[in-house]
Amino acid sequence: MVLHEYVVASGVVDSVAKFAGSVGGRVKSFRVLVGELSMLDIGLIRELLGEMARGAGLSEASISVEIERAAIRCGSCGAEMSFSEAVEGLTEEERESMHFIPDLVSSFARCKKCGGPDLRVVSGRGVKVVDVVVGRPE
Amino acid sequence: MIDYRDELIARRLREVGYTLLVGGGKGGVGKSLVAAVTSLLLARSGHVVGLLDLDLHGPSSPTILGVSDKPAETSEGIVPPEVEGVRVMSIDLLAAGRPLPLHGAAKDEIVKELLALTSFGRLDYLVVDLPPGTGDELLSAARYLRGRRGGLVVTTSSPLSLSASRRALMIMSSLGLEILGVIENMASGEGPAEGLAVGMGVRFLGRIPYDGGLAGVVGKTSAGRLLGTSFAESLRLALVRAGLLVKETR
Repeated sequence: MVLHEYVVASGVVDSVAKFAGSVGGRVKSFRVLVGELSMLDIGLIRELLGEMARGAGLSEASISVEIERAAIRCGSCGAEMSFSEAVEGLTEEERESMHFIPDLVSSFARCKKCGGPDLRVVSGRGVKVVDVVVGRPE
Repeated sequence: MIDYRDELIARRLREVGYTLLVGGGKGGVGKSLVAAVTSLLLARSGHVVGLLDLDLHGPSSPTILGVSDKPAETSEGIVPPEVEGVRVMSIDLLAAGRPLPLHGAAKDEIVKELLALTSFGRLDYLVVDLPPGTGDELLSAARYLRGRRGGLVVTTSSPLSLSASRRALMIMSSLGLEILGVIENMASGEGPAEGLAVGMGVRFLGRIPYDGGLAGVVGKTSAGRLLGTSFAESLRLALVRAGLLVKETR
């Protein structure tokens, strides 16, 4: 599960660089929220973003990478589950599928309270780029 | 908030020559088979083809083409397995036959993830197998799959299918899709789909008679055999009428 981190990091860096180009400024900082359900290696994401940012004209940007905790709500009984509750007992193969498509949690997991399959991801799904701060052009 | 997947999707679509969305109003009219065999016909004609199965509740492209290999993880994204020259991506290759109880927001997320993460590479055609109806998958596909694109509508002669296909044509047109035409599947004699096409101002591409031999070749290791059916030949003629460059395969 390393190459997926590379794809995500390159997408994040290209997106931020494109945004900076569209507003005509230099990026001072941005935050990346990594959803728990994506099971991405946050240390690796941080490392790759740092490397790629230097090659994309974002070397001055301060990058914060944080985990967004997952919450999964059952549409049938309203119970809420954490990441560890949702993935408990899943096989390595099932986890890997969720690594790519976090919403597959409803295919592999069941509500811990009522056993129902109507699981909805409330938070902690994928990767978000937020709080992009752009300075004025020199 | 910036959604990094938008940039990845734009990057992928720059490598796609034409996106063909295969839809229709009702289930069971043969959309998935038309999408799969269209992909095979295009590939056999020398084109580089990808097939994206967006029937999220009932994905069937892997079953039709006999594909079960999981996509490979690479630094470019997840690379779909290939059969008879067609690169096939379906949620079922990840869900492995498990049920897919998905609500609207989840479906939009999955369509976006599949488009962002799947590395089809350079394609002449990306064929998209849509589910029945005019719901999230069609709307999300139309929103994200920009560029040169068109829609193909499959119906049977059933009044229910014709009614639903009429609605699908209206929605596809209003989403800005070029409508390549209407195909009547499982036809027996002069069916009413031509009237639907004429009434909607789109091309009627032809009738595909019911092919009782299909059941024997749909499934494992049958992708090539599908091209030898009368279904494939009737579909080929319809695709030629739609302006697609498909050669005789028999």
